[in-house]
Order: sequence, then structure tokens, then C-alpha cells
Amino acid sequence: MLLIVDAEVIFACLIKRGFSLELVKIAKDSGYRLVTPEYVFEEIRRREDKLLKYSKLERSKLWFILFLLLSEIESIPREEYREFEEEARENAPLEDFPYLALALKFKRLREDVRIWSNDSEFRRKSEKLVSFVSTKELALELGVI
Amino acid sequence: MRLEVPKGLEPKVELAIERVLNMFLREIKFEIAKEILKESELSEEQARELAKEVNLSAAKRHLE
Repeated sequence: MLLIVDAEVIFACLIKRGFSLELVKIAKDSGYRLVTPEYVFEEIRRREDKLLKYSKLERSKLWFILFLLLSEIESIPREEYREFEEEARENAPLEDFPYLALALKFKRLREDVRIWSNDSEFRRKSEKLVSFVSTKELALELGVI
Repeated sequence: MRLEVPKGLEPKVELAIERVLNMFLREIKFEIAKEILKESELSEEQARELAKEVNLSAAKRHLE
């Protein structure tokens, strides 16, 4: 099973009272493959200053968690899903189409794929093409809550 | 501690030890991460704001 991870879920892994980081671990332990489109981690890195300001974590501590996430969530090169971008642009909000393109690529490969996102607009617009799961739904599914 | 390994099985045992060590290290990393997170002041709203920025920038780069 494959989960395409939205950037919001990745940032949620840095929230004190959240359980997204725990979910990442449990999902991987349960055999899920976690992936995200190219540029997502790069763009997260570019927001290091904001992340440091908001989280008030020391730089080394912030990077400890980011490196852990990088080792758990694969970044898929754009070349692998480029051919699905056009269809994705027509069926997803502008800022979310790379996730849908990546999902369509894996769907074509007959993989059991879902998008892990809490964005209701993205879900409403794209669910006709690919399945979605929210953090709460995944937590229920994996017995975390 | 000493582990008696039957002759010829040494490479398999080495691989098994490496696999167990990696799993063990991963568990430790998650435990450390949990401790670090106790200090984090990032809010859900800030996480959403950052995600929006990241998704928009990443999408724009896909349009280039």
C-alpha cells in the first residue's frame, strides 16, 4: 500500500501535541510506503527560518526530525509522473496537482494508492480519480485513536 | 556476550545483525524525536500556513 503524503502532514509531524509523527512510524511499520512529489522537501528546507521561528526549536533539533522524516518519506523525481501532470492540473487545485499526478502514476501501475491529506477542497475536487485518507481516518484505521 | 555461528553462516548472521541494528536505531531516533517535539511551539495554524506556501511553490516549479 502506498500513501502520498501532503506537506501539511509533514509539518504536522513537528507539532508538540500532534500524533502525525507517530502515525508515520506506525504506517511504515504496517507496510505502507510513504512518498511525496519532488520539490516538497526542498521547499520545506527553504522555510527553515520560519520553522525555527515558529517552533522555537534549536536548529540541530529541528533538523534531527526533518532528517528522520526524509528517511521515512521518499521524494519521487518529477520525471516519474510528468506524463500525468496535465490530467492532474484539470482535476485538482493548482497548489495540489503534483500530489494528484503522482497518485495517478501509481494508480496506472495498479498500486493501492491513497493521498494522505486533510485538505477538504483538494479531496472534494480530486476524489473521483483517487482515494484520500485524512490523518484522523488513518489513525482510526491503524488503531492509534 | 558471545554468539556461536555455524561455519558458512557468518555472512547471513552479519546481515541479520545489521538489520536488527537498523531497526533498533530507528526506534531510538523516533524516541529522540518525541522528546524534541515536547519543546516545539509550532501550531496547527502555522503548519497549515507553511504547507500552503510549500505546496504553491512546489506546484509552480512543476509548471516551469
